Amino acid sequence: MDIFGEEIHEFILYLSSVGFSKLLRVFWFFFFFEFFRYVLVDLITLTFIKWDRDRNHYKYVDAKRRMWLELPLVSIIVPGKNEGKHIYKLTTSLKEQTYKNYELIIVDDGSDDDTEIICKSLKKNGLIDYFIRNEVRGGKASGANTALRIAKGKYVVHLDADCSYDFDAIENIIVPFYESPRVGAVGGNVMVRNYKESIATTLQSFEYTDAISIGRMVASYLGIYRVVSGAFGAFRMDLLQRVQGWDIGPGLDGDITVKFRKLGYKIKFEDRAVCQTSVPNTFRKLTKQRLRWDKSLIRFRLRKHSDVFFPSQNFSLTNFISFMENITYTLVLNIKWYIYAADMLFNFASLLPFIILMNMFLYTTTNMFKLLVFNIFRERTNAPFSYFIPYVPLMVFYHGYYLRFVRTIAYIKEFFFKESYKDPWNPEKTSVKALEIGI
Amino acid sequence: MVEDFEKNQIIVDKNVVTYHSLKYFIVELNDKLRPDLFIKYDVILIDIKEEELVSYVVKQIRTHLNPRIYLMPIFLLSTTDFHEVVINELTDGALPSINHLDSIETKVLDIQANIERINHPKVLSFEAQMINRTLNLMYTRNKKVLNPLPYFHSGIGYYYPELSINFNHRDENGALKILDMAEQEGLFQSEFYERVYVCNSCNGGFLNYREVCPKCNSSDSVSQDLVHHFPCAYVGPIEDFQNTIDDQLDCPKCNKTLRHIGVDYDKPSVLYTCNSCHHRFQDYYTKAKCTTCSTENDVEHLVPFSIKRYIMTKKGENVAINGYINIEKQLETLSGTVTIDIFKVLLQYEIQRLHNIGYSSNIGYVHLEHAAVVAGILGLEKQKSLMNDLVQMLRSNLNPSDFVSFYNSSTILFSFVNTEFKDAQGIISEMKELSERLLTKSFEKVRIEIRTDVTALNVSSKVETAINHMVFPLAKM
Repeated sequence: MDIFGEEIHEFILYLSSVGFSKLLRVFWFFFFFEFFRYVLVDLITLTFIKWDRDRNHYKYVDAKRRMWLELPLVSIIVPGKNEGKHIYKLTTSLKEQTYKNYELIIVDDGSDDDTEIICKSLKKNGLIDYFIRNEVRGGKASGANTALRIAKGKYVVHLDADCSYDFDAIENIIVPFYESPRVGAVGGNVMVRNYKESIATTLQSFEYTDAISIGRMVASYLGIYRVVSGAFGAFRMDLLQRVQGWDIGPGLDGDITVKFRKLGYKIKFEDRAVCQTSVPNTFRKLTKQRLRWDKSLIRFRLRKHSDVFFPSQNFSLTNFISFMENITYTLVLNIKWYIYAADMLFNFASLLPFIILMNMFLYTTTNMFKLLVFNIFRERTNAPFSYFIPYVPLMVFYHGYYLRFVRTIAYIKEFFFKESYKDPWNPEKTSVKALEIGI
Repeated sequence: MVEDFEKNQIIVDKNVVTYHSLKYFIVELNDKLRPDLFIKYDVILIDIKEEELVSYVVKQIRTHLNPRIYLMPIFLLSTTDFHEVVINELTDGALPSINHLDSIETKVLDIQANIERINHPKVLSFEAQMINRTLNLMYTRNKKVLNPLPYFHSGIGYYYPELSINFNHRDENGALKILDMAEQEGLFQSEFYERVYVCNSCNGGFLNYREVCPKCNSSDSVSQDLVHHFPCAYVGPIEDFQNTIDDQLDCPKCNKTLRHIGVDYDKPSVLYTCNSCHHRFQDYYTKAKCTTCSTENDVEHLVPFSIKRYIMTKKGENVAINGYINIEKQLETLSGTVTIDIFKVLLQYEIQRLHNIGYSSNIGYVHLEHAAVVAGILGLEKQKSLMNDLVQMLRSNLNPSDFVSFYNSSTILFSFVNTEFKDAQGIISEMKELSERLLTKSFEKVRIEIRTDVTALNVSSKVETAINHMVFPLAKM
């Protein structure tokens, strides 16, 4: 305890003695990139969002009114394998919806459990409108595309079976289409249902609340929002038909969003359309999930949609910025962090304990600031922000080290070995063919 | 055609043949059918070639109320090979001409001897009448087994000729209930033969099983194989992949040519499109459309019946001779009634109370005339529900201390406790009026007659005697 106290004392002495320029030199990574992007830009944009919402509230109300007047048919599609156990809960959640003009289409992608029996029973009882069983598994994309074949709605809402929804979620996710005819897709706000289950779920919940939810609000406002979540996303049917549905994943939700962007349509994030999901409850499962997600950056952004970076007839500045921001903050800075670590190791080796402590101090303070201040911009939360306060210091390790490390592995695996094509998330038969034609 | 036969024919006396002291009556095509008159003869010979008319004649005889007529030997004066179950099973044989009467004489005498052995007890309940008729017909023909016969004209698809002949097309499942009852009484042993499902609405067995659209019940739909192209995850019907230039299949999404099922594409599912409402679905609903009443039945809501072979037991044989007089048990539990045994006990107490000075008590009944005919017209279930309504109506007109019981499925007994005979007569005539009004209201097209009576009890009355004495006139009818 005394040793630790001594270290803290020395650290405070160091802080008071070091000048601002020195601080900037040592913590340039934090100040120039992370603080700038994730605190300053977010805060300014959120302020604008709030101001804009208050000023243009009547427009939102009018859009909602027009939606209710038209009452468009919404096709809710839920493709999945072995999801039978979740479907009843899902239908219950949907029955509560304020928006009733929907058709629920469940596609069973070759389940080998009781999904077929459960769904047929639910269909017989009128809780499901369409149930399509694919005897052979074809993957999530083919399941969604099968649903698309029979969907008749003006809008298609893609859901995950293990999610549940706020009673006004469907209504809220459709409204943005009436705010602007250029809106092609709307992403819902995914929150963590099991945030109390383990440290892994609590940290993810913090991440969803902050980086994902707030991050997407900001990105959406800035026009660079690029992933409509597969767990809760709404699409215009005519555009889905134009792009001929989903391509194979993993990462198909990000992929289809890019395809919509390329058509010149806006992608909106609607934080008031809330869905709750259960996230992986162990770091082992979380690692597996994130490796899959992170590989898609290389596969889709750098390979499949690399044309976004080059001038062409369809060149779009916002798409370019969106991609650049994504690449910069996830890939480039990820590499740069290692350079920074090496810089510190070689140039400031003696100060390393202080640097680590300072880093923790800076990030914890920032995270705490964001937790407290950004809370006023959130219209809906599923957990009291006070619950996360004790976990704020852990976010430094979660974000700064754990996720960064997982991301690095994913990039290497995908960049050098195209590992996403070997992911059992997709049936081998489809991955092999996708690899052959390079999509 | 049958109606023509009935209306336009005349009676011809020369149709009577007497041979070896047996009187044969020949029913011909031009005869007006009057089964009541057959009682004067020993044998009926049917000299008609038209199957439908022969069947009609047989039915008229075998469903007659008089045992002397419905048990009468019937022969076909023809060598025509009939396919009709009613003809083949309910006639006693055939002879080519009148010159061959010798060939059937032994059989006729045998049947007559059996008929002579049979007692015909005073049976009032429909169920008991049906059981007796069946057993009598079987016994007189030395038949031990009642086999279910697949029969196109049967409402449930299977026919027990001796019994089913008494039921109309839509109420034939009533025969199965009667056979169940007879089996429970030990008159038959049964062997499982088949299970049939009948319409939930009308108990009809003529069902058209169809695969229909789950939304609009139309059976007009087309199927499409859905093709999944592996590389781009495109899913669509095969037509999407066909082109107008050659026979190749090209993916409309990625333009690749489909080459090898299982390698670059597969057909994971089949989708049906309803031509009527354009609903798309993968699983048909199987519905059974009743061709009798047009009801669309969900197959799980069809009413199942076990079809069995019934073998007459020794007890059955004995009952065939002495008659079956048991009451219908299901009615004993009807709300507002007591069982006949309890009725008798309560009546015994009531007779004891008559020793009190100034105390008078009576019993009465309401009887539905011609139970068998009524059941034939209304159906067994409707008849029961009618009896239930009658009980409720009677209950509301009696004192709470009065007790009501079923004597049989068409006769309701009740007491008039501590009531003057005159008052009881007044009440019962009012009941008759109310009952008739109820029946007219409920069954506009069917005329059902009601018979009522009331008897005063006295201290010397015996319970059994009092009841039997009162209902005896019914048995004579």
